[in-house]
Amino acid sequence: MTTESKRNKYVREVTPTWWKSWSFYKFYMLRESSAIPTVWFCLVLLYGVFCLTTANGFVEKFIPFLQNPVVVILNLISLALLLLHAFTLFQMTGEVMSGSLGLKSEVIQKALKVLFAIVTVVALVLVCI
Amino acid sequence: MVDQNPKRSNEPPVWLMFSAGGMVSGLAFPVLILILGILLPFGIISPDNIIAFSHHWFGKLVILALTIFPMWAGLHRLHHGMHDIKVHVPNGGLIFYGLAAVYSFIVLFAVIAI
Repeated sequence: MTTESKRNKYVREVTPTWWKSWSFYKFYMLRESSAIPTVWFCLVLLYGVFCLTTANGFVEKFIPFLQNPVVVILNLISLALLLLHAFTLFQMTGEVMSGSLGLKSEVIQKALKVLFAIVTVVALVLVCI
Repeated sequence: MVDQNPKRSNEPPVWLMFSAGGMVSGLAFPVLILILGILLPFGIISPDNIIAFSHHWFGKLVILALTIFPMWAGLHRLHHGMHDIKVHVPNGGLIFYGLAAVYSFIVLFAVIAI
């Protein structure tokens, strides 16, 4: 025989704006919002690839698209949020991986930041030289 | 009795794409947005090297990695983010990962066509 509780189970109400109550949660939501510019910029890259498939398409279609003021503004917002995403990711990855790799989290975090700098410099050198 | 045919979770492959995409976008998207979003449209750099790079087989592999993985990460995070703001999209997993898969195929064929 099972006994049934006569009390109503307490379920804490969660509203869609639950995260507004604490700055820690607000920062979490700000970071998660970087998923939107990630998708946006993937679509920009897809359009760039499409333009590359035709002769002169990159210069005649993709660059004018990138010069559109709305696209410039969206890309600037994306750059800011993707930088936030990158550095918080390096922070978290260091903390998460230090257990399985047996390295201090600071070492992993520093290595990822160095890798970020290398990728940035190599990409800039490749497009400029 | 051990269930010999348990329901398989889609989490391992999806998480692989999500974590790869997170790292790829973390390491490369800031500089890519700087190049394509600011330097190129304002005429600070020439498009020649980018066009030449896209015609090389190694460049094509890099473009595939840079476009496909981050989209899986972005849509995975949107899928879970929707629950955070209490929007429960019906068949969310199918829709978000389906979109990522469709996008991946389009990118693959477009990159081959360059």
